[in-house]
Amino acid sequence: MKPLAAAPPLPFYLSAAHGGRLCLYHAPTAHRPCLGGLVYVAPFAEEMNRSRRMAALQAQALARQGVGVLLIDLYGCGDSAGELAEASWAVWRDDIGLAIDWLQQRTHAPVGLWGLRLGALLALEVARLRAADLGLLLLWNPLADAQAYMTQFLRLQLAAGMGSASGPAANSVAALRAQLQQGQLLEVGGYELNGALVASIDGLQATAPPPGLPLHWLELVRDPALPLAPGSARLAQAWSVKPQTVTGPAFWSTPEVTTCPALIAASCAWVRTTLEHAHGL
Amino acid sequence: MDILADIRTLLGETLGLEQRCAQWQRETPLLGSVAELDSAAVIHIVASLEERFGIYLDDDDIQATHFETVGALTALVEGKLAQ
Repeated sequence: MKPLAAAPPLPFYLSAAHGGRLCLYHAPTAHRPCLGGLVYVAPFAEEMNRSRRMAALQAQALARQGVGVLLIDLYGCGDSAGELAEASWAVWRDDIGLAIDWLQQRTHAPVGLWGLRLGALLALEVARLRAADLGLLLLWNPLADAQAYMTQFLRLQLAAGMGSASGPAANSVAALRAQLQQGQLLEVGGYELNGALVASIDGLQATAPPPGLPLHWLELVRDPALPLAPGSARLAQAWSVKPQTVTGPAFWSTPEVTTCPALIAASCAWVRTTLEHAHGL
Repeated sequence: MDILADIRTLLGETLGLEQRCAQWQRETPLLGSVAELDSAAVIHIVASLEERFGIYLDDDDIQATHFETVGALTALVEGKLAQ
């Protein structure tokens, strides 16, 4: 039997503060009962773009299992209202909240969050605020250290002068952060950042997930023989959560579009089991 | 932990080299020899090294000398791990 072609997702603009947010809804396949819903929380900047293929494939796979998936483009992230230069962490948090509300009304079933990298930290924060409304939390490679991540991002500015005798074009990440603190906008790798957003991300603490909320942490690794990266190991210990490792390329950063079918399969298995359990099946 | 092998794998994945880097040794030249290694790739490698090894590289460490050969990059990581 040939696999069914995936139905195209439903595009629409979700009404929110300062304009619409572009959403793609992958509805559960018609012949399945709706088990629940998941809101996808994308990673930051270029990582978001490079993850699009995996997000779409995962959403399709979940929809075939009876799980409705909402992909939302957050404020200022390209397809929605606003510019990144005007974006704030609080607006993004509210956007995810609106997406949860929409999906709950649509599915009348348990709704959860699924976040990747920085998106996993945003999902965690929303989960802490709305634990009672959520049925599950799926994390893919949560950032262990948001400030270190932001430093890595800002360093794109330092790279311009690599290999030239005069050294890097910008002198240090500390100088870039100081510019941002003074209220200047900073363009890094084609993304215009404001100081408040960078400060919010710098200050993020990957504190423990809310107790009682079913959580699954999938960690994509290059080599299953290697120990977990030190930052992830620290996080696992702090949360008392054991990540399930899956082998594959870091698709959010590879130069070519890459995918990891094993990660999709592992996610589907856990989401389905968790939602069936919630339904008493 | 075989740091050289781990760095080789990390470079291969970060730069999208597939099997081209399988035989790389410490003396294999990088900057100026591997076309994929542009400035953005350097920063990407730095980020991957930090996450993989749990080390912190200073802005001053982001210098061409550390990216001249596979061995130079490996020595940088070994030095950070020893601190």
